[in-house]
Amino acid sequence: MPLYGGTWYADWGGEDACPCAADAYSGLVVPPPVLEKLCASAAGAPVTWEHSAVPAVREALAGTERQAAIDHGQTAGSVKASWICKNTGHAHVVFEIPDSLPMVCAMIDAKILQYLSATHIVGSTEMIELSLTTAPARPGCNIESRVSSITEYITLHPP
Amino acid sequence: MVNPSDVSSATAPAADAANAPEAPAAAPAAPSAEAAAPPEMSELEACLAAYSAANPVDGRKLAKHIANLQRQYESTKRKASELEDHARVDKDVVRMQLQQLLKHLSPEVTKQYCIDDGNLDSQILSPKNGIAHNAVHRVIAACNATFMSAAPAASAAAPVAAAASAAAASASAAEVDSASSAKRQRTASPAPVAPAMQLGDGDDADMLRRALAAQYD
Repeated sequence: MPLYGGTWYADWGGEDACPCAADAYSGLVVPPPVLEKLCASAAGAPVTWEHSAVPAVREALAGTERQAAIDHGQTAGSVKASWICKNTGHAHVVFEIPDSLPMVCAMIDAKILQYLSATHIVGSTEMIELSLTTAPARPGCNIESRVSSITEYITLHPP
Repeated sequence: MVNPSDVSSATAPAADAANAPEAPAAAPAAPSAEAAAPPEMSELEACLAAYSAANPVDGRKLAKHIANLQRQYESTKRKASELEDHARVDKDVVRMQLQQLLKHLSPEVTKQYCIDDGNLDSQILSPKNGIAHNAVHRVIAACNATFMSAAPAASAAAPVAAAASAAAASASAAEVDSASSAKRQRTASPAPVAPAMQLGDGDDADMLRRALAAQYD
């Protein structure tokens, strides 16, 4: 199954407007300790298409949101590993797309789908889903490339 | 194909909606759960999150520093609590010991030094250390006054008691054994006077007296 590496939490540098406290309350930005825990909990989270799991997550009971996202029926893959780069502080991820979804891989390879967007519950430290999207809520969250192994991508962005 | 503008307007709110903890159960159809999401993080955490988003590396250092400070604060608070417990136990022990001392003091003395049972407890357990110290000092002063004044009286009474017991003993002994009691009887007699020196004519003193008389004559 093909593996892809990318960034799901970068910084707001450059021409993007700096975030404010309201963005933290909405969960758009998170404190570093929460970011670390989100990375630690990322493995096993479902990869979805444009936050397709959000309606199921909304209906789920507290504490069962991830399972609801996994069970929602439109999962496009799963997260294999996530960590924070030592040099940049960005959160990186390696996820796999099953062989049964070649068109998704083709869209990613063609840069039609080139961004990532992670979802979590504010106040919790579990990643609910990692979504493939064309319009990420956070800047700099790009799918970098297809990778041969997790180790290969970790070497590029050492934790 | 999905319209990018629609995705743009749908994706971010959807992500935010999913971020709201109560949104799925409480307001599933809310158009913007972001507004309904209660702020579950402190203002400091929110500012730290915003700062870290723009400066990830520095933000992580700052977060570690804040975490250390929080750990130190918790540790200090825990130690303070332990010390408070120990101090409470110490106070109870002191209070009980002082109450033991009070049992040896007369009511007049305890009243005079304001250390009767009710007063002492409230004073020892007072949150103001000065009051507790003062109460302890007053108990010590009361003990000093009682026990130190009792010591001379006892020593003065001792000879009287001894004399009385001696008299009783001698009376009973006289009845039992008059011979042995006679040995103990003393007769007052003047101290022996040393006999006057009988100086003869040939003594040195006499010769000196004569020599002096001859010189002044």
